Amino acid sequence: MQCYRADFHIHSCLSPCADITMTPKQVAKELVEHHIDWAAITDHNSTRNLASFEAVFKASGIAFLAGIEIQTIEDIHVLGYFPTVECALRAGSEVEQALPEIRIDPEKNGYQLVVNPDDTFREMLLKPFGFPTRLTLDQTVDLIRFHNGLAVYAHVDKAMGVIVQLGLIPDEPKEMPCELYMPSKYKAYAGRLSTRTVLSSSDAHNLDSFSESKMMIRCHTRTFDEFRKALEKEDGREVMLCL
Amino acid sequence: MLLEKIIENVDLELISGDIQNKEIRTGYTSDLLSEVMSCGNSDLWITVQSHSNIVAVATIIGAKAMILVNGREYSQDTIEKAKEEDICLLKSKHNAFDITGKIYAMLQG
Repeated sequence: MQCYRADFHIHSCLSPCADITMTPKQVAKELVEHHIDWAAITDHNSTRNLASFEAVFKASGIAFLAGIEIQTIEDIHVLGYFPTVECALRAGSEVEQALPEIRIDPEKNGYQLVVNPDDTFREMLLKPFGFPTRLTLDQTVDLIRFHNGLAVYAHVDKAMGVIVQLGLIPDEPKEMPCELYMPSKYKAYAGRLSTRTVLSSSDAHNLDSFSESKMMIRCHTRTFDEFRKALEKEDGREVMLCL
Repeated sequence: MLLEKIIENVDLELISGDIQNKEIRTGYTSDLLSEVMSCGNSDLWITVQSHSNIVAVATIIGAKAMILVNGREYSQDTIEKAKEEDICLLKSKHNAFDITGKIYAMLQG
């Protein structure tokens, strides 16, 4: 078994709150510099930049995981991870349908840019990707799982995490893994996290927020299936926080 | 003031629970459940949150009744849990500001 340095929560230039410099080549360069060898792109309510990042990450030797960060109607942030970009695109298209029917002003709300693998911008989107969807928490988890994905509560130790929004982690869905923004806070949350698998990633919104990895994945290969097995702690595979 | 009297005077729809003999002296209006949990005790809670966790939070603050505003709907799961905890579930098509204001005025008057 191998130990891989992973970062599974990164925003690209498609997220309105992220810097427009979060383009495939720039992000890949930071990841290589910080010795990350497995990474996911998780934009707010959209999967439209995944294909470009997948191409560049692979060329840089970084294994790619297709992701999204969905905002539920309760304004809880939930991460979804998918076996392929195609699965993620189908899920992303359903999430887009659940966004409010408004157009944002990029000057006020931030730029949402679809990017090519060579870092040039292809399109500027005006859908309100930074807003909560109409999907309840349960519907969000069902949507992710329907598209063969894995659902993880994002940053449970921060605003828009499930604990802040709902006061406590609901019993259902059972054993849903949780992400901690600060792995050093694990002890403070241990009681509430109980036996759940805990992850930690950068939640990077700009190029300066990358650091050495906050977690390692112990498994055989850097594939979605091995990641799923690590979440389920199957046969010695595991997610380890770097405390 | 008795909950029955509040229901008589404010445009509220009873979804489940027993409204008899529930004395309402205090209330709280918020949608952030972690904040509600730290508000101390409150007889009545007004919110747009309908996730079934609201029942656990209502129990923590000792709420006897809650009002879901803006025309939102309770899930069956929430209704069942509220029955077990003897928490009366009400709803309204009005927003939290209007409902809170009307009930506050009644409690003060």
